[in-house]
Amino acid sequence: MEKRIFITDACVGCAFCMLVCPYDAIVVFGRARVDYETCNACMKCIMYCPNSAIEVEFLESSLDSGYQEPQEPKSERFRIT
Amino acid sequence: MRVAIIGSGLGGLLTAAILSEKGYKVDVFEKLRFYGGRFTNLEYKGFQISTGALHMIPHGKRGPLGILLKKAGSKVEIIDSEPEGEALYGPLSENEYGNGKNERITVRSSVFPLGSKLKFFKWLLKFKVLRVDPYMDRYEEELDDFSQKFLRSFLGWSLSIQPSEIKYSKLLAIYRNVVKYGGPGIPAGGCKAVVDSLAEIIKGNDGEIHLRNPVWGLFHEDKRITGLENKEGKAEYDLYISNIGHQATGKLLGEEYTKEVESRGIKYSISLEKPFVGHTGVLFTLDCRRISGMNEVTNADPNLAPSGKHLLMAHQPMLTPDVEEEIRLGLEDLKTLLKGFEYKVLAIQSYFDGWPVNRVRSGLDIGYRTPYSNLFVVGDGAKGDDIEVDGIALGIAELLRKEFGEKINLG
Repeated sequence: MEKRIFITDACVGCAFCMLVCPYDAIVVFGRARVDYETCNACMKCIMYCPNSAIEVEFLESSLDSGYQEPQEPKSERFRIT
Repeated sequence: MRVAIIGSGLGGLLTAAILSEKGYKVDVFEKLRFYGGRFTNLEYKGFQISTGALHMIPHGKRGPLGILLKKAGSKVEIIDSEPEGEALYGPLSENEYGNGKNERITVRSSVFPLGSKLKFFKWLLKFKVLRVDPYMDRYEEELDDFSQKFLRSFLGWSLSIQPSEIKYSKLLAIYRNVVKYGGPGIPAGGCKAVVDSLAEIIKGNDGEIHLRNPVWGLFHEDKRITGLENKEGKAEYDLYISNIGHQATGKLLGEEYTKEVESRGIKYSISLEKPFVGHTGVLFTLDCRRISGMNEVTNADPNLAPSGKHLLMAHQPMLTPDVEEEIRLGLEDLKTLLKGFEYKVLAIQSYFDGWPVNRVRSGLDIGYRTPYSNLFVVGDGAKGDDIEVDGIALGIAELLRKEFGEKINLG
């Protein structure tokens, strides 16, 4: 299943995620932003986030449902603590 | 006696190290995968970027933290800043306000005009005799331009606040500590060297630091803590010391017994080809719109940056809640300040909303006690009247004296 991280409103921009990201996939300017082109969904950042502001979403479009929504892929969100 | 420490920031580790030296069995619980909280380093492109603090101890090795580190048995080397502070004064660029000519003034008592010094003593008398104790914005306009700007820079750099956020009596307490203990120092190896030395002491005394092991809740009965809950279940201790501030501790209890007012700020870590500050002290930037000061820690320890590079750290308080606008203003200041220097902003780190500069704004701390007899709070949520980590050390000294009968000589 394809997964990706996303930044929630709990992010304050302390940049720990950017500092530890092995792929240079995060930029921080008051808040973290993920470059999905370079992010490998390795999840390292999650373990360094002091505000638990990084979550993982499993993309429904990658589920074997046989049916594809025509719009934006909907996501199911799980909180990793 | 078994002690549980919740959170492995500087306050938690320092308390744990001292108690483990005294023979207590300590267990430190940390939710993240590293210890040190906002007082350690993360390596980034060969630079030792601090997670929070500015690789600087406000009163160096002579202050409360220096004294407690020594007491704990820490061997960390703290390099005295020389000069302690310098003020960059005068318009930074050519504009309608000035000709862009500024000067660097070494901060010492003699550079403040006599008139402003007399004002300070007039306020002292008013406080002592009449107990008049207003917030400093009521007083600052009585000062000359240099002293007024220096006060703003100093408060922004050291406490992330403005004059309107601190009462005269609290500023006086901090001023007294500056006179008593002197200026800052830089730990060789940065913040991480300090917390590493404490972790070593804890482990050497059979204490444990449990990483990725958050405390989920505290059980209590008749205003006593009876146990903590984590992923392993319930664990019982004799004493509980929280390093996560009173408010977050209240959440673990299911009873928010106090609300905290935090102080907020933004820190810039900058890579330089050649030094800008040029010494190991603080450069207070008096005529910036946002940046209040900077330090260049590689002048004390070149290993904090890759060979041949310098690590400059600049700090500003957050004066409005719009963090992006605050950063834009800070970056504009840096552009003007560093004109002619080759530099690269490595990291912009903002601290607010539960991960602030200080969990409790200086002057509003309520002490280490909680409504629970065997639960105490240390760290930036329970500081004494001093700057940053030296304030944390004062809070811990108070706890050790009153609850553990320790004799601590703070000079």
